[in-house]
Amino acid sequence: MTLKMLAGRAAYSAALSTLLTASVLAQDTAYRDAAVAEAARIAEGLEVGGYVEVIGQNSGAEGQTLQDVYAAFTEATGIEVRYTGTQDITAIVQSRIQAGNPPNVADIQLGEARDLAEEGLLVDLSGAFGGDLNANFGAMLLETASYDGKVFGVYQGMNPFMVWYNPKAYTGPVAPQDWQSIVDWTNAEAENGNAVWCAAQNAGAGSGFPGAQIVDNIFLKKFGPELYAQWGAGELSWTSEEVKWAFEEFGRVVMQDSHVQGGVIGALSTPISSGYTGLVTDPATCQISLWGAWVPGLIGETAVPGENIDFFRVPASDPAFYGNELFQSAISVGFTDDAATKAFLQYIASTPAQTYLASLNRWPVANQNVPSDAYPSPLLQKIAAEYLSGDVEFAAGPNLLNGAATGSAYYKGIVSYMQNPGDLDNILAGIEATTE
Amino acid sequence: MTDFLGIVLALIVLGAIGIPILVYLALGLGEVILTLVPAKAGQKLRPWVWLLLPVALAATILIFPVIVTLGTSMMDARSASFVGLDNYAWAFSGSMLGIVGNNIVWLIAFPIATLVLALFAATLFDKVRYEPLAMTIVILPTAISFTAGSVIWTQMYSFQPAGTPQIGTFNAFLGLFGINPVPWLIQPVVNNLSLIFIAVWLQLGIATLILSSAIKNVGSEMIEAARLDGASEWRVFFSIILPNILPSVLVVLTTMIIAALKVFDIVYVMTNGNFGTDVIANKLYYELFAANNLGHASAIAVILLFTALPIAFINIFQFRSEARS
Repeated sequence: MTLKMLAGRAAYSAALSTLLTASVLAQDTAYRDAAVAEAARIAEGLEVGGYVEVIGQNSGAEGQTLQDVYAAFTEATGIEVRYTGTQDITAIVQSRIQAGNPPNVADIQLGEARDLAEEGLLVDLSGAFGGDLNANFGAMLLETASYDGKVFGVYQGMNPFMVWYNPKAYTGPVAPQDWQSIVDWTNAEAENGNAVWCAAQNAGAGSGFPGAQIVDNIFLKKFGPELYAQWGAGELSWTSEEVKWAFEEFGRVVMQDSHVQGGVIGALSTPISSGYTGLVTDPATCQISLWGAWVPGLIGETAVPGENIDFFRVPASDPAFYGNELFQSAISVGFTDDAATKAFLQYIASTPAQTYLASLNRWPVANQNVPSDAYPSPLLQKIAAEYLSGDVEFAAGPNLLNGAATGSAYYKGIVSYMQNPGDLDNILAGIEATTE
Repeated sequence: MTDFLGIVLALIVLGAIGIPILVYLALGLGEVILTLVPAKAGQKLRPWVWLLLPVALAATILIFPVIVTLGTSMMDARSASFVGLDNYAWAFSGSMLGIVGNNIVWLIAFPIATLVLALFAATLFDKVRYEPLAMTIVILPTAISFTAGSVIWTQMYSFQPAGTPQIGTFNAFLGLFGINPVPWLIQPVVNNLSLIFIAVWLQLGIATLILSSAIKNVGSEMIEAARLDGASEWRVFFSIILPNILPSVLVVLTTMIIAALKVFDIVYVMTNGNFGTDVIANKLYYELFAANNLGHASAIAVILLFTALPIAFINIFQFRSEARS
C-alpha cells in the first residue's frame, strides 16, 4: 500500500469518524431537547422557581448522569433540583422523616417505600399523572409501586440480573438454560485448580448485598415467582426449607474457597468497585459472575462489549422458571404534596426523560416506551431487547420487597453465612425475627 | 418551600444576637422582681433567679430527652404500645450478647493499651531534649476525626487474596518477608483488635499530653533524692512518679472508658459491625435509623447512659479534686 493510499484511508476514516461523532452528538442533543420540551409541557402553568430536594443512592459518575437528566428539568421549569447521592440513604431519609423534615423526593428501596406508603407518608401519584404511568410502565412494575390501589413512586432504572462472562476466557457452557450445567462446570474447574466465580461482597454498610441477590436468583429459578413473592411478602418463613436450600446452594456453588476468586475471605474483603475487573483482565482471574446489568459500567472502560464482556440469562434449576427474572431498582417517591415535586416525578417517569437517561449509557431504564436504540452500548441494547421486550416475566421478592430492617439483616446474614456456614439456622432465624 | 439558607441565617442571628438579648432581659426582669421582695429573701432567691435559665436549658435539652427515652424504651418499635421490660430483655439476649461482648473487649483493651502507651511515651519524652518534636508526632493524629482516621486505616488494612498484589500497607509489608496477607478486618479477634488499635492511635496524643503535664508537676527534688539514695529508674517510676500522677492516670482511664463505651465512627466506617465487630452504639444507630425500632434503640441508649454515668461522675470528681489541689 502506498503512502498516498494510506493517507487517503486515514482522511476517509477521520471524516467518517467525525460524521459519526457529529451524528451521535446530534442524537444526544435531540434526546436532551425532547426531555426539556417534556419538562416544559409538564410544568405548564406552574409557578417557576424554587427547588426540589432529591436524595438518591447514586453518587460519582452515576449521580452525575442523573443530575444531567434533572438539569433538563431545571432548564425548562426554572425549578432547581438539589441532588445528594449517598450509600447511607436509609438512615438519612429515616432521620429526616423522624425530624419532620423529609426531602421532597427520595430514591429508595421498594420495601422501604412500601412501609412508608403504608404509614401514609408518600404522595399519591395516581391522581396526579396516573394516565402517564399506565402508558409508561408494565403492569408488574405498577403493581409493585402501588399500595392500597394508589401508585406511590416511579422507577427510573431497571436492572435485570444475568451471568456475565468473558468470551475470550470462558470455558463453560454458553447460555445454558440448566443451572446444573453451571454447577458441574464450576466443580470441574475447581478440581483443575481454577476458581471461576467473581463475587466480591465488600460494599461498606451494605456488604453482602451482591450475595443476597445471587441467593434471590437461585431461589426464583428453583421455586418460581409465587413462592418468591411469598418469601418477599413475609408469608414464607426465612427458616423454611426452600430459603435454606437457596442459601446452601449459594454456599455450595459460589462461596467455596476453590470456586470464588480469592477464596471466601477474599470475596468478603474485596470491594465491589474493583471485585469484578478480574473478568476482563488479561489473563482473566475469574470467568463468570451472576450479578446485575451494571457490571460492565462497574468494570469501566476495560470492558469491551462483545469482545471481553458478554452475558447470558440466569439458568434455572427448574426449567419451568427459566423465563422468570428478578430486577433491581430503587423507586423515586415524593414526600411533599406540592406541584413542583409532582411535576418532577412526572418528568422523571416520562418517556423523553427516560430516553435521555438511556442515551447516557448507564443502565437500562424502566419506561417500556423507550426504544432500545436509544442506548449507545450494544450490551444495553441487548439487555433491553432480551429482558424488556422479550418473553421475560419479572418477579418481585425479598430483593425488592424487604423493609429496611430485614434488608440489612439479610445482607449481614450473607456475610455471617460466608464466615460461618454451619450457623445457617441461627442466621435465618435472626433474619426472620426482623419481619415480626 | 422553605429556603434552607434563609433558615440557617435566621438561626445564626437568633443564636448570636437574639439569645444574649433574651438572657439579658430575663436577668434584668429577675432583678426587678427581686427588688420587690424583702432584701433578705431577695438575697436567698438571687442565685436561683440567675440559675433559672441554665437549669431550664439543661432540663430541656438533657433531662427531658432522657425521660422521653426512658419512656420509649418501654414501648414497641413505633411507640404504639407498652411492652414493659421486653426491650431490655432483648438487649441482653441473642445476637446482642456478642455485641455486648465486643464492647467489653473495647472497654478493657482500649483504655489499658492507651494508658500504658501514653505512660511509656510521656515518661520517655520527659527524658529527651527533642520532647516537643516527639510530642508533636504523637499528638498529630488527634487532629484527625475518627471518620477520616477510619478511612485512612481502611487503606492501611486493605487485604487482597494471597498471590495478588497487596495495596494495603500492612499486607504489602508482610509480603516483603513472604508472609501471607492477613484479613485484618475480617478475621475474628484480629479484626476487633485492629479497630481498637485505630482508636488508640487517635487518642494516644491527648492521653500522653495529660500524663506528660502531670509528670512535669512531680517534684524534681523528690526524684533527685530517690536517685541519690540509689533507686533505679524503674523504682523511681513506680514508687515516685506513678503515685504522684495517679489522679491524672484516673482521668485518662475514665475518659478512655467513656470513649470505648460510645465508640461508633470507627466501627461504622470500617466494618459496619460485620464480621463480628458490632458494638452497642452502632447497634443503636442501626435500630434507630435502619430498623426503625425506637423501642430497641431507646433501651440501648438507656443502658449506655447508665453504664457511662458512674464513670462520668468519677471523672468529674477527679477533675474537681485536681482543681482543688
